[in-house]
Amino acid sequence: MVLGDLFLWLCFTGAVFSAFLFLLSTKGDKSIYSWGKKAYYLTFLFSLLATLLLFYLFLTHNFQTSYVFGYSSTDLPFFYLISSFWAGQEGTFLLWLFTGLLLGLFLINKKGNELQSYLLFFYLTAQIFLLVLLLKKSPFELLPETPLEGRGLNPLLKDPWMVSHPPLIFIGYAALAIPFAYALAALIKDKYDNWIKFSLPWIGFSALSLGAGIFVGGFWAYKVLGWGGYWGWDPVENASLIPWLTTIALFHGIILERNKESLKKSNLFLALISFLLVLYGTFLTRSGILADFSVHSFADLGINQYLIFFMLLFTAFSLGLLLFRSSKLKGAETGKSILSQDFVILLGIIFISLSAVLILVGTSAPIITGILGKASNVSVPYYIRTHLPLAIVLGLLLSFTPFLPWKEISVKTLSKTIALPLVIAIIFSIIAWISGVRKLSYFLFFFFSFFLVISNFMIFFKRLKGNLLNTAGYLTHIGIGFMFIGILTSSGFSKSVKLNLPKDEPKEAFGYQLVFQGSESLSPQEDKHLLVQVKKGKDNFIARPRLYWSEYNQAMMRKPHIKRKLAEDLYFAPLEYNQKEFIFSEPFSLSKGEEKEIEGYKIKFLSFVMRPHEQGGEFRVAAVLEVGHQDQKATATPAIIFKEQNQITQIEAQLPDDNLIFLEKVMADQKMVVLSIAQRKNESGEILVLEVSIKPLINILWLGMIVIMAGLFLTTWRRSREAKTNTHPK
Amino acid sequence: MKLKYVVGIGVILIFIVFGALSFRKNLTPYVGFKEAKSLSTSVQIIGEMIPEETSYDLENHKLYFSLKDPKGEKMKVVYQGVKPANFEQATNIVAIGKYQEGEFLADQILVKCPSKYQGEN
Repeated sequence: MVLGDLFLWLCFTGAVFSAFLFLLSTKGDKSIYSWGKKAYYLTFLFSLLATLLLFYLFLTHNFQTSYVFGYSSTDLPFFYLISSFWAGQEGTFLLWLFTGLLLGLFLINKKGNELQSYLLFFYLTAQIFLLVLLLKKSPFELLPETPLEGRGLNPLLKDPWMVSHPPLIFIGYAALAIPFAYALAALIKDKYDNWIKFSLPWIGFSALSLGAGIFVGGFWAYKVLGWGGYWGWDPVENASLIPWLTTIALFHGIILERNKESLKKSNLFLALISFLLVLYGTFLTRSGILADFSVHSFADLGINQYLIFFMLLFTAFSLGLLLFRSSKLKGAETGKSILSQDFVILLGIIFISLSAVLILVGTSAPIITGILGKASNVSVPYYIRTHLPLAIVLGLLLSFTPFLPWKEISVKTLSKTIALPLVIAIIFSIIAWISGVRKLSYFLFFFFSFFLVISNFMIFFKRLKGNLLNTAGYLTHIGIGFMFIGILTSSGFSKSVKLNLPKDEPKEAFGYQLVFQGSESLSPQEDKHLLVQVKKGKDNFIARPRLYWSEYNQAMMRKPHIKRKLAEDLYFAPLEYNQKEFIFSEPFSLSKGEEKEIEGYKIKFLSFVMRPHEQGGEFRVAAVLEVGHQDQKATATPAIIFKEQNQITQIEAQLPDDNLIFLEKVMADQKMVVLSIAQRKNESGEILVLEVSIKPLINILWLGMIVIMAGLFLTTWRRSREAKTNTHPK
Repeated sequence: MKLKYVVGIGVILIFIVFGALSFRKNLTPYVGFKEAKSLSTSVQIIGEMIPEETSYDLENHKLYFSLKDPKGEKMKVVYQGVKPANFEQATNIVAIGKYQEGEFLADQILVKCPSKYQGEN
């Protein structure tokens, strides 16, 4: 057994043992509890060792470890070697486990709380679930022999934002096990006063980290993927959005419960379901079940039966327990008066939950319809059509809520306070109307977004004089308003045009003059940048979108160029680059170690690299060449992929000076290759097809996200202080 | 008091009905080529790409390609939009759209590359 697997087994044993001790200590035996704590520390220690070991294997390029081979290579900078850790499934499970056990350290030393033993027992069962998956599909698995080089990191993931996105999401997932465990502990003990107080900061924390992860992911998609959007309603994205929404609903539910003693059952349900939805999302995206419906879905790792087993076990146990207790559980009635804070919050919870349900149904559509008959997917308009009215309703609620007290308020007092923001919102809406917003749904969307921002701003400033922490809610809601505005302007009012840009021929788009100047590589190894000069009055810059071949993905990749301006973004996405005007040299052969001079290149054949490629019968051979040109020296590795039925695909390599080299034939037994050089005939054939879009006010969207994060951060801070000081402020 | 519940439940019901309707409307079932050709609604098809029959129309920014299903039936697909990054290397392609006058007009295409997220072992 390798060391890493040993750590995982020890961690597993520790977790089971510790969970068992915590279960025994539920009768109130303090010494057993402290033994459980010791076992927990050991468990954490082994997860730490396993995590450090995997980092170490990445940093030392231990390619015999299959996971390290699959996601990294020697040319990766330190930063991306670290993030290779969570480039694949096994690593993310380990990251999730480690974060979970780390967060648990903050739980085990709480004193004087009757839920403690059960809390830790249930919390550990969630970690045991991850450990089972890790033991089944270990990141420490070895290959039969050690490859010289790893497959490298997916170039899409070579981005600073992608370094932080997965950890943020998994911190959120890990933290959601805490309210889950608290709710179960409360249900088992049949005591419901403490769980809401103690789990509230964790709920804020989950909302913060999951939200940050979702936002970072969206920003990354916009910046890197080049389709011009930031949210595609893909199952992988939805899988994290759904539990985020239920967490937010839960947060508001608990605020209501603390103030009004209501929603007891709903809150327990939301706490349980948020975690169960994390499991379900994991199942959807990792089982391969949606493989035909998503660009992203992970391949099946053979852990499906475990995922399904745990999902059903957790669901049956937790919801069963809730059902068993529910007859006795009764909260106070809520929402007695329409013009009161609690009624509006209640509606908010309902609509946020509704949104979660709609997305859940949409994401599960292939499974639901598959059971009923033919597996079908729902397309993106489903999400947009249903969420436009939902967002309008939420905007309406958020506009009023700052002015509503917990007690009932009369229409007269309310109308006095609300008059000013209403008038300002109307003025802004008129401006929007003049600027061309004519569709009723868009207009309403804008109107309530303005209204909610202004309403919350007013109270935010009033409260700012007191304690900063008490402004958290208003701040978050202001952020929501900004985000709404930014979403609508940048998507609903985005303009885009596709242009054919022959080299050196000026074309117009949105008042800008565009000239395609050709491509440029900074070095032979570097990807090509396509240079487009963009001019409008004094505004003059060169856009550098990219189209490049990714060895890792075996695909042409695209990277947009974004010109950020205060009021709008100019988004340049390359669609097609036609440069196939080549003259091929006579094929020539080279045996291993031999050097020939062809078309001004000194080419020496060094070695073969062979490996089975992808699934079923494909095989790939590459020739490693040393190329001398003028004073430069470089390596080039053209390749052939042998497919089934004698089909082959040639993969060319770049030569210095922009020419290409192709591998024509491989004679492995004679250690010989046949190559040909393709020289560019003339530059006139070059054509770039470019999509130019304008994204108005997209900065408001990013601003909104940042403000939401700031608000959630303050919320988490405030609630954790309250939980510590045992205060119960209204 | 009662009115409030009626209104509340009414609003939620309207949403659910509305959600269910848009769900049905935007549902795109997977169908075989034969069935796709007989339907005028939005559907999803999957097929193997025929590499020789791919072209990109520079004038109209349209991507033309053909798919073959396991029975050997062929389908011409027209897609107006951004060519997916890994299009050239695709073995199988999912197209979502409608069949019209001899061609499948795709609104969306998904490229199936089996090893995108998982290593080859």
